[in-house]
Amino acid sequence: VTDDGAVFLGIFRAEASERLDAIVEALISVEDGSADEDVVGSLFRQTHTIKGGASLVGLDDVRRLAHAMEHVLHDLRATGSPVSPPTTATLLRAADALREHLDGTGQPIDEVLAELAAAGSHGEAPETLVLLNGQKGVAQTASRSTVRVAAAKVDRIVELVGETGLHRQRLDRALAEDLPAGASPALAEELESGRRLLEQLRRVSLDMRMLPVSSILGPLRRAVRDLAQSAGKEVDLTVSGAETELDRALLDELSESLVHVVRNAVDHGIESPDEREAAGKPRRGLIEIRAEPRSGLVEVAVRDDGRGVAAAVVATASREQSSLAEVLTQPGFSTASGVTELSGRGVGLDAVRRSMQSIGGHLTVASESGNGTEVRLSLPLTLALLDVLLVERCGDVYGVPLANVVEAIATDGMLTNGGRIPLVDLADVIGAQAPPPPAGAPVLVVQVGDARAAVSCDRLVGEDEIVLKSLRPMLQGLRCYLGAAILGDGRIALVLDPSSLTGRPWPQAYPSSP
Amino acid sequence: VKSFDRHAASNGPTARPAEASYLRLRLGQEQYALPLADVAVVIVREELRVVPGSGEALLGVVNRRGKVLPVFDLACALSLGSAGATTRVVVVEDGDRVAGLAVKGVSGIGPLPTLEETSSAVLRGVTVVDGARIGVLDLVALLDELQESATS
Repeated sequence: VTDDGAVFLGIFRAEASERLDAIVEALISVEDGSADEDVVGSLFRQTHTIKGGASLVGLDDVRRLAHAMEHVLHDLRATGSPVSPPTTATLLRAADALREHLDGTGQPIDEVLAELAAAGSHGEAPETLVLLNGQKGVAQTASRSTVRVAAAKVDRIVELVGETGLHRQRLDRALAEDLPAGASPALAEELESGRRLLEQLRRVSLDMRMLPVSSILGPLRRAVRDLAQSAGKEVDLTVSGAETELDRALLDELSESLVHVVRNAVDHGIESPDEREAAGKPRRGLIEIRAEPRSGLVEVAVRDDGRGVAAAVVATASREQSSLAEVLTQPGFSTASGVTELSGRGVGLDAVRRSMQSIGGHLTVASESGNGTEVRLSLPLTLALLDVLLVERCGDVYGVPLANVVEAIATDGMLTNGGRIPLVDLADVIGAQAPPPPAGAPVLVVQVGDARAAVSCDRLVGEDEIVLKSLRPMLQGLRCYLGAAILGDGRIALVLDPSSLTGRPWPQAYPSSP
Repeated sequence: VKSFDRHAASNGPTARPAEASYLRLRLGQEQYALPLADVAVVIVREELRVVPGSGEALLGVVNRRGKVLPVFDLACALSLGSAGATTRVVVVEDGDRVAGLAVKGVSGIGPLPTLEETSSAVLRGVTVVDGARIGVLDLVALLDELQESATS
């Protein structure tokens, strides 16, 4: 294969994989009755395009599968008949086989081909091809306005924009030293326009990393369908706010977490149809996913109308004054309480909690026994460039994500709120050995979800926009840091995971007022 | 050897290290070696940013070309006790795992006699040069151990 061939193959794989996502989503919409009028036509066009691309790059099994799917769809379209459930299932299986062959892990396809042949009556190659060729011209024009770029290149641009910002800070500092009387009007104007351009560049480059939540929904719909079928349950999935955009890297974390949460909802939340009917609920269970931007964060809520968390567990949470999420994610929780129904929920949720924490997000759970559970994931829009408040403790600089800072106060005057917010020493939280901060030391109020903590440090340095550098993989075990940042003066700031500041147990509780 | 850069060396017309070359390291009284293929570069140890809450083998992090490089005390990681003052940092790479190993110094580059088996998990084997035992490090096992030790 020539270099060009390898590039085309890569592009074809990426495009075909997206088309397959769309095909699977459309087939599932046929199954749950929410399909568009033109669903058969759009499925036909998608498979036709995959077939064309596959023959160009010489993936013969992919081409044959796509061709056979296309035939079934062509006949359906010609007769205008609805897609029957067995045909939908066959097409889904064929889509799975096609994906395996795209990934190069495919099994022999004869069986699937035979199944497809049985599903549709065989005719000659569809005449609509001519018409489609006409449409293909349109599609190609449209696709020329988008460019496929390796994600690593986009990341590199964002990184360079961050470095350019750092360079700009150093330049400003050097200029201020060289020109104590200030820059000339012409120079000042140029500097200002440079600053504006850099700001625009920053926004545009960050925007390139953003993808809508809808881009991860295909596999999720599929997971719900498969899980519900194997558990003998009937489940509908509705999604709102799918256009909400998030950084690609965080979307990956979100995707994995959502699969865990949705799996729990189907396995442990939604009851069997008979059980639901007996409880006066509709036979079909409902899982709703809602995504919405919320003050620098994105909140994704997954709500099911199933049986909810057992009342005993809710009681335990309130007795221990912990949140439901804390109780449900305690290691060994499920076995200790003997609530077998919750075992899956505990294990999966623990992974979700850790995943959210590693990106500076958090998890809350609300549940009403008998009426369902709502799991809320709250995560930052991006970690590539992050606004932080820089503080100093024991001579070192730390960053706290600005989205989590409620207020920063230079005196201890606010500590008269009845002691309801625990006061913690930053050094204690991170495990640094240091004498306590002096009286009157600055305090930040940090909030994660409903939990707040007042954190004392030696000095507030100021706000900064930083490029977050990952500590993974070598230092991924250090849970209290999101990462590190290199500051304008070359120093390294460690960026704190806000939930490690508000987490329990408090190393040192603020004494309540007498 | 003052400094060494594999990428720079391989670009030179003549300076091409032999297949089974090793970088020999000094750690207190002990001698160790790393396959040259595992070593990206040897740098002079700079001031480190301490990371509170980490295990004692992690000396801190340093800004290296815009990336955050964790630097470990190799002697401490090998349970030799701290080597005391370290002057050089050997930057090693295993895929996306990049770490700096602080050592007292590097004593040479060259081939080594055939290795003998050893029971140590982080050693590929041991050999003897001029009457001195040299342990050859297994980078993957060593990084596994360092990754583990960063938290405790």
